[in-house]
Amino acid sequence: MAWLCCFAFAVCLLAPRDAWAYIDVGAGSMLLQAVLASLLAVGYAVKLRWRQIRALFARILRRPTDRKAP
Amino acid sequence: MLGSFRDPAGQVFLHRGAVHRLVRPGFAADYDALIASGLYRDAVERGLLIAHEEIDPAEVATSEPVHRLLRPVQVPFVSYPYEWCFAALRDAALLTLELARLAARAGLRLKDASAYNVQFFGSQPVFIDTLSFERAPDAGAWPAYYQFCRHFLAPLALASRGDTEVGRELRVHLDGLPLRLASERLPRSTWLRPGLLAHLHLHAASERPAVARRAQRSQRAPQVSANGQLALLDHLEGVIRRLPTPMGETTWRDYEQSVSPASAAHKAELVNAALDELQPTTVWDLGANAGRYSRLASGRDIPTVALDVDPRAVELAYERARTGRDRHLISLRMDLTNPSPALGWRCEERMSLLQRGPCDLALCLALIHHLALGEGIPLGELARGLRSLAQALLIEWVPPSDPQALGLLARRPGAAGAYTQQEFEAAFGREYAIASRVRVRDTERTIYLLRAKP
Repeated sequence: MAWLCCFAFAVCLLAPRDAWAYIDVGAGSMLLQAVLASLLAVGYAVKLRWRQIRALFARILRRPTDRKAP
Repeated sequence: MLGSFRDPAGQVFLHRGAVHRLVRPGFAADYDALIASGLYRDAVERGLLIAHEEIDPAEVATSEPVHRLLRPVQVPFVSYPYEWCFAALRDAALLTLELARLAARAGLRLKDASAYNVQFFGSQPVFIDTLSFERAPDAGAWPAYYQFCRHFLAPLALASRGDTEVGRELRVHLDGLPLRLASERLPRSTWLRPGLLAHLHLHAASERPAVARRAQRSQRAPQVSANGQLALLDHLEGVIRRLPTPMGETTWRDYEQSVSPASAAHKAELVNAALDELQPTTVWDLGANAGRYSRLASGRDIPTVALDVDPRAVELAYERARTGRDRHLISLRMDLTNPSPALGWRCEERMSLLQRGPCDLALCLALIHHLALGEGIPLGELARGLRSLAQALLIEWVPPSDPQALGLLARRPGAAGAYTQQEFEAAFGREYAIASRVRVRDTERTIYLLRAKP
């Protein structure tokens, strides 16, 4: 996930390297944060619900066996 | 006290010797939200945020309108990030992230992530800036992300790879280490670590004018969902927890083994006797090493500061205090020949070591030969310097015939002439009165208890 974030932001960096006086160097940080946060949120949601997700898969995988049982 | 003058929300000042914090009316809604949301109570109960009492503003004459006047619990000894060891800075970082997370869940946000907002009660970090919390817009970015990476992640990443000088550099960069500097100094292999790549290397690249300009041109501020913000904080925490401690404990074990058990036990007796006799309210252990004797003072609940120039010793002293949940021993890196100066605006934002003293009692055990012979500081100058730091000294005279002194004399043979016990007593006798003089068992060394002359 973090690799994906890095790649997405690296695309943003493909910009011309011109100089500009009086720029806010923290502005790029906000942009990076937005990119990272939106991508990390997916992994975070999975992490938070990991038990539920695992339980769901366990139920799905168990069902066919249940049907076979007499 | 000018350390807080940048904050429009309030101001910190000294009144009757105690730190107070006033909340300006413009910040009333944010302060009230901190209290009403339960975040303040929760964070204080968990030992993350400093507790305060609200007092009547009429008690203090101020020239400006006041919403609330707060008297926080007083910090026993103010320390700064450039004096902390790796583990202390890491604990301060984790504390900041935890508070940012609690704030986000309470519908607020932590607007600052400055390492100077954290102080230590012994080995316990506590966030001291009560006015760093504000009501959060629905989908705003975490405004302190950039600051957090400069104040915590960048120096930690460098220190974790054995860069012991990074602490000193924080003295120069009071608003945190520039990310580009950190990115350039880290080994290339760190580009393969996703966390460091994202939050440090690409973050440093985001400072490039072209990227910053593009971000500035955008009409909409970058949007970050509440879940996204929590994900970012969670990821930062993982990155910091995974940073390796710079030196394994195996490399530190030699420190206290060069002293014979009998002499170490005798020294401990003498320290305890001095503590009994003087009943100090503050103790500094100068050249504390891993804090063996400092703990005798902190064990009596005396606020104790262990200072040493060796980052490994400071790290070990901190870890031991942390393991023992010592609330009174703070372990800091300090070069006594070049101690922390006053820094910042008008040299008043950060205090020098001298401004934070003098202490009631300083322990100077196995120290004087390093300063006199190793660093070439004459005994008279040493006595004057220590007098500005401490009201009383428990100081160990290490004679020139001592094996440790002989090693130093070999490098500076010219120092031998003036380095005698007679000269020592004469020099320190000008600043202090000799209260006792005891030969340390198993050695040729003598420990003096010296009290300031009235």
